[in-house]
Amino acid sequence: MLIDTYSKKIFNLAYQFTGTYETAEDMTQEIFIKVHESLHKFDFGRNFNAWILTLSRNYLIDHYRKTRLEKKKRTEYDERTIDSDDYADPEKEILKKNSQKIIWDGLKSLSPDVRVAVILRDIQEKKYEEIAEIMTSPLGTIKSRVNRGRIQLAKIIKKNQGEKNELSAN
Amino acid sequence: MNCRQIENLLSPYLENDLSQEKKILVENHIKKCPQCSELLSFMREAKTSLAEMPEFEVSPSLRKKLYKIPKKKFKLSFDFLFKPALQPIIAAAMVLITVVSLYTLNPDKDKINKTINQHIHAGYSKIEQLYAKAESLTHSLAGYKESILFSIKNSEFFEKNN
Repeated sequence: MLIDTYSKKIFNLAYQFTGTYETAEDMTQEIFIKVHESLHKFDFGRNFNAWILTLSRNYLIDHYRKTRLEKKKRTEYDERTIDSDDYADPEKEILKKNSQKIIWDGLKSLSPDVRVAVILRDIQEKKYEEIAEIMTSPLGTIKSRVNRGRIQLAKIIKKNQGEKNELSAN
Repeated sequence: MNCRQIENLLSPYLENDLSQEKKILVENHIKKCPQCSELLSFMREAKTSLAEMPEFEVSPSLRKKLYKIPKKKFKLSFDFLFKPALQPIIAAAMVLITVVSLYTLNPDKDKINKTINQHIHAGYSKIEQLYAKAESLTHSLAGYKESILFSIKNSEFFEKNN
């Protein structure tokens, strides 16, 4: 029941955070071990979904801090689930995939707290209030982290476009 | 408003979360500032790209591993026995168990019982003797009670105070 409901959410959060499939699988297992060990501490007055994601977020950030060197190891952006039929215009499709690849790779340059906030808001499309509960931070802090993350990613897209333009000019 | 202040309003602007007044401020700034206008358009692109990131299903092998976790982790554990706070209690219990087992498993158990009984009886008779002595002492003191009280009342200390 617990695994059926939450494994996909936790795995995707771990994958989007770490950028590597294998690490995300290992982390999902570790997070579930932690969940089982901490279930008795759960306060029934709290939202269980937020509690389990807080636990996941804490684990991801702790792991990131312990293994800083690994943060650069983001694997190729996996486009398997993009359905090509959705895009009538092939040129548009290529542009979109390129942009997603840049953003996917760009996530690694965000600090862990900013990265989690951006993932929860823009990929998982959660409400700011829910993110604040998950990250146990004030609403204003979360909004500011999301804004900072988007600005950093926007600058990465801009830089990438600049490099491409230079290459095509040469 | 300068560019830095406008940057803080770009996400709320993208999400239509600004008051009319601030929205106009941002729009007026963007019209005049190509850098902020460009930043906003890249932010919009980043936001759209993130929203379209694929979501993955959990692989069957991972699911299998996850289902194994509770069985593996919820075995009866005796780790609590190694907590430092419990060590004096455990040591006392071990001593008690040793003494009890030495007694119950001893082949000369009857002899031990006999000796214990003898000691207990000797203890009882000593107590009885002491009790009898104490009683006779109380009786003998009762005979002197009046004379003791008389001599106390007539002592120098009471005479002076009276």
